[in-house]
Amino acid sequence: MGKIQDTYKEEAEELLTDLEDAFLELENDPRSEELINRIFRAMHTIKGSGAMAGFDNIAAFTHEFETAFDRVRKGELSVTQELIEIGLASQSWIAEMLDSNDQQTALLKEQADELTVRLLQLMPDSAEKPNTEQGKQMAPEVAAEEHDEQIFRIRFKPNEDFFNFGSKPLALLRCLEEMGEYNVVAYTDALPSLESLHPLTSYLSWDVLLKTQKSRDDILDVFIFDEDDCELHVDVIDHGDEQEDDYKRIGEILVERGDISADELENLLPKAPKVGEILEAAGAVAKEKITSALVEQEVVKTDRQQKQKAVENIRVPAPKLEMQMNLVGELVIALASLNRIAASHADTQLINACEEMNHLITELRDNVLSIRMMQIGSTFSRFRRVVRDLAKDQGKNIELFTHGAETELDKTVIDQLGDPLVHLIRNSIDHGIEPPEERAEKGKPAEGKIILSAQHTQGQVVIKIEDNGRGIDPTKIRSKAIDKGVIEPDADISDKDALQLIFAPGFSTAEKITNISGRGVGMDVVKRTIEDLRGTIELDSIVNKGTTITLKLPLTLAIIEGLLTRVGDDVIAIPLSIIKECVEIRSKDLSKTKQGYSTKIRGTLMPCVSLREWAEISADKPDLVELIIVSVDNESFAFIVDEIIDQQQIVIKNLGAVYRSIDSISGATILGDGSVALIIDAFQILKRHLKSSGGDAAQNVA
Amino acid sequence: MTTSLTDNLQILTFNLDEDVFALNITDIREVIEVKELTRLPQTPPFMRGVINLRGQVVPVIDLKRKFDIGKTTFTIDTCIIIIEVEIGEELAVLGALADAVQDVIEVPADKIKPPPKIGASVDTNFIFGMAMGASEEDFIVILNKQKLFTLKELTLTHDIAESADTSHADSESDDATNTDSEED
Repeated sequence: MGKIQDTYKEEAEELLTDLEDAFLELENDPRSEELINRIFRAMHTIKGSGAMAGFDNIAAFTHEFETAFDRVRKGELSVTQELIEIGLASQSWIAEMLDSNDQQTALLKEQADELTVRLLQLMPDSAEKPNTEQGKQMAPEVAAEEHDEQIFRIRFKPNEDFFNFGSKPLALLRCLEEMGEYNVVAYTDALPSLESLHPLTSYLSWDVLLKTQKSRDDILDVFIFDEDDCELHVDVIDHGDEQEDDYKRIGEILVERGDISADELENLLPKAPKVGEILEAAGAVAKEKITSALVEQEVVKTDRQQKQKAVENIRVPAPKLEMQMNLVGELVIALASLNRIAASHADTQLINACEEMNHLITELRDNVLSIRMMQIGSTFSRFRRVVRDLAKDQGKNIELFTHGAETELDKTVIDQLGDPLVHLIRNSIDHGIEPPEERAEKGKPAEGKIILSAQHTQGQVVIKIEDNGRGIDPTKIRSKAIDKGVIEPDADISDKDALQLIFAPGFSTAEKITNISGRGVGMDVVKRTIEDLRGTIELDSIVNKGTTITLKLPLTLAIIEGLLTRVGDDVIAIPLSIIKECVEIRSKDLSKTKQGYSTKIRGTLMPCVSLREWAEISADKPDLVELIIVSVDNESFAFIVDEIIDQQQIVIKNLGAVYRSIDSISGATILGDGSVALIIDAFQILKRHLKSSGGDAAQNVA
Repeated sequence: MTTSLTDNLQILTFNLDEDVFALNITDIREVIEVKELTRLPQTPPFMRGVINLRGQVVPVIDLKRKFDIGKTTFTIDTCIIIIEVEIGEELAVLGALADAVQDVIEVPADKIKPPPKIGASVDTNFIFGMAMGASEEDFIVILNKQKLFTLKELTLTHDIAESADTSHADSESDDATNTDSEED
């Protein structure tokens, strides 16, 4: 795979997503010109760049489509359900072709033919449009990347005896057309009246404006056999590197072309404001020449505007961002080390300089993180198609609502979130929402609803998938879990806990495996993916009312603000986002309870978890301890630590597969002195803490 | 291992107490001096903790504890052998503690004997083969990386860990000074 091909695939995938969106929106709003234009543009680019990158099959196929939508644009064809169906099917087809690098299997070929036939049937006079030109139109731009785009003005005036040598102006113009964006104005002023017209004499001449990556020599090559038989001028009129928006004025263009002398122009100008009109009225310049000049002005103007827009967005390969993030991470660690040295020197100047660095690096970090943030909406739009297609397949009536599409998440998180979300949504459609008859019997509205929402809370992103389907019966889950040996027959678990058993390995609620859900990926895989992202997943369900799945994910996987605390000789980091306050108390004010410790803070009882016991440290407790009060999942509790060291940016390092089974640690970080500190996962500790009943505290937290 | 029968095997030999062990040189990334370890709770005792290897957090295994032949105490000769292993689908970097690293030697493949059925100090499962040392009596135990460093082996012994840890909740940070006073 060459570089162009890769770039094309990337670009095409983005366009396909856009295309899918546009089609789905078009379904609701078939008259929207904006949508039709969007589809046309996407198709056009897929086709054009496809041909350039050598994806000829895709290009050829897409051409038909582009033609159809061009006609829709012109109002010759109306948007029908069938057209949208074909559109969506074509979108999928192109996606598959991209995957297979434009290799057509028999099946794909068949699909393409079928789609083309269906499409042609929609077009009343499709027969008039022969397919032959498509190949030609596309073949061109290959292998011409070495030049920047330039705009050429080509003046081509065949001599009178041009036809005598068997030359065809049309063929030459076609060649030019294939080189890039092409605008042509023909001059008919030399054409005599019919009586005096000699059929073998050439009277016409042309001005061609060509925006192309090819060089002037390439253009001259086109005329290589005819250059002696015609007047030919090829000039670069815009190098594409000038910044200003305004191109030359009409007068200037005409003077430059030699259509009018500067003096003549000067004489005529003061008469009226519009140069073109005056010149034409005065007969100084033929109408076509002015038209041609106007076209030139327009072409260059739009081209420059497009270029200016392009500056606003830059495409950067993801690995570069990764690298950048890693470097910022290293910088943060180096800074911590610098801070430590500065603190030990008690040099005010050094400390001030470090302070300055702190600010800058924090800003840099936030900036780098924000570059990596993406709106989750891009993932959401995928699901509209999934829901639409699956609902149709199963004869169910389902609508998907999405909220909070603008919620931002780290790119790496979003990338890995797609598959689990698809799985969960498929489950909702397949197992959750009932068929219309069943819904009617239950007295529910015929339309099933799936609500997909995302929002920020407490430094986390909460994603919910709610449906109003049949819900999940905890009793059934329990008996099934016993059948499958997931739990002991005499296990005593709450309804809520029973529902979570769905995520246990080897558990699948589907009675039979359909082609939709249960394709090998179980809910346990979903859960593991979410946990790998340092997130959590929970399921709530009310029978016949519906099911809600809640995913909680960290905003970023890379760097967080943390509070470093000391326990014995160990340093433990606690994410700052969950900390509410820190209180110093005497050890003897802690009372031991069944589940750990507790103490009274301003009159309320605060459950406490000893990190000393958690970290298996046996050394004596200090008289004064620090309580770090955190809030997780609307529950408040405190960690008991010996001492608070500092607040610091911490770079999260993954502990890898070996330590995956330790759920109370979310990762490790490297401190300024090069040692490793553990980052605590407060949510998991709380979960354990709540679960544990009986036994002594040390065991519960250890 | 990838070595075919006709090849010579290059191995790095190291000491665990008096016994000589070895790993295939191709599995080893580097050997570093022992450095400060951060112990993780809820792990088996042979998982001694993690180190910072140039910004990467690397788990370190105490082979003596894993083989149940004591516990590594830190001396000036103690090393960490850094190896790369595939765990599941991930390529993981691990460290193994050695009392001392000796030499890289070449052993003809046909001189490598299968592990003895009985009498080995180490579970024969973990042994790739036995090679002759400097003298007739000295055997080198060549370890089987694929069998030893699997996810199962590295996490399986959870139960042992818990029972062991409740009996002696020791802080690992004083390892460099104390000798192996407790029993495992």
